Amino acid sequence: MPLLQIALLILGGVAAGTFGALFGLGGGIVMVPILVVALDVPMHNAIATSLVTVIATSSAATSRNVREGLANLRLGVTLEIATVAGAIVGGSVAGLLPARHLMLLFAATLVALSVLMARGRDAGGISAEELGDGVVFGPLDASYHDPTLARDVTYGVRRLPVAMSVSGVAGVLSGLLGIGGGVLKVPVLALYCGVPMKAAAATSNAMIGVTAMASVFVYFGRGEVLPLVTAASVLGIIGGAMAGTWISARTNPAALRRWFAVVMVLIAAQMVWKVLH
Amino acid sequence: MNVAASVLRIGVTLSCALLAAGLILGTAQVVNAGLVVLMLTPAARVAVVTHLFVRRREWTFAGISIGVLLLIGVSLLLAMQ
Repeated sequence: MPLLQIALLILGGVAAGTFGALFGLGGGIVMVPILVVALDVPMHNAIATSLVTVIATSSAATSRNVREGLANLRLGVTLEIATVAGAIVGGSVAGLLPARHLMLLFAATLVALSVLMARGRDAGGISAEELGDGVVFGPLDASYHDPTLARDVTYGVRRLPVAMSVSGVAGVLSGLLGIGGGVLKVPVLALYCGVPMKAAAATSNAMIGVTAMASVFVYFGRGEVLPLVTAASVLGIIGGAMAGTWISARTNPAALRRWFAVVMVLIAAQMVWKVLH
Repeated sequence: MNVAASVLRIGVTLSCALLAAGLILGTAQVVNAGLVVLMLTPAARVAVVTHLFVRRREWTFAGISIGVLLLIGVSLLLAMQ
């Protein structure tokens, strides 16, 4: 493979990793369009590569989170039942769908996510009050030490069925589109299930690696993992994630969220354009 | 818990080293080795966590964790067809 192409792939990975770390998304949402639109990688191969990069970023981030006690491993393994099952289904179904269907579905998902992002934390759907208080599932209680608050935070997990269903859907989307699924899981855990934001993000990060792994096996079995493309993308995204984390610690990315929603719509438009040409 | 963190960190570091080496040397096998290591890292983490639950005698979660491993096994089986 020509050096220029490897360099471009690494750069693409860096971009994906930086954005992912800045906005708390997995790189997948940015990685897949970069590969498909900018680098002419076929959709199924792009999804496979993206899933491997999700494994890389998830594992790196979780290594830190577990050490700090942020990730709720009991909640994680419980939800992983749903998410891994979903990933297997999604990855298998993707094998039956032509690339352009997946690309259109990806664009539609991007638009839906950008709407959610733009509307902010009180985004649509059923309010927590309407769902009722929900039972706290005692065994899933957890606590962690928050250095910024200088105290231990204890919480219980509510509405586990909601979390399980959303995890299942997130798993299917992960297998189908090559994304991590954290964009669904984190808001649901934080807004509906009583999990503090930091713990929700950390737990989700731990789960998306396992999710991506489950679906990537299916792609691997179909021979859709391109070794060199994937290697370059992984190295890029790890570098990008480190850069993004460094930048995010020194800025306030929350303000950029609305602009990123616009960017996502533009990316979605480019995916559609690619399908039509 | 720290074992899990170490497993993840070692997995990512080792795979990145293999991927970088493979790209520079141009050897497909080294690249493939790096990919396999990376792809198996989350499974290794779940295995460690399972062992943790067993050691703490949290049998419900040990069972759930084993369930996740079994599902991962299903995925591998599907891949090998």
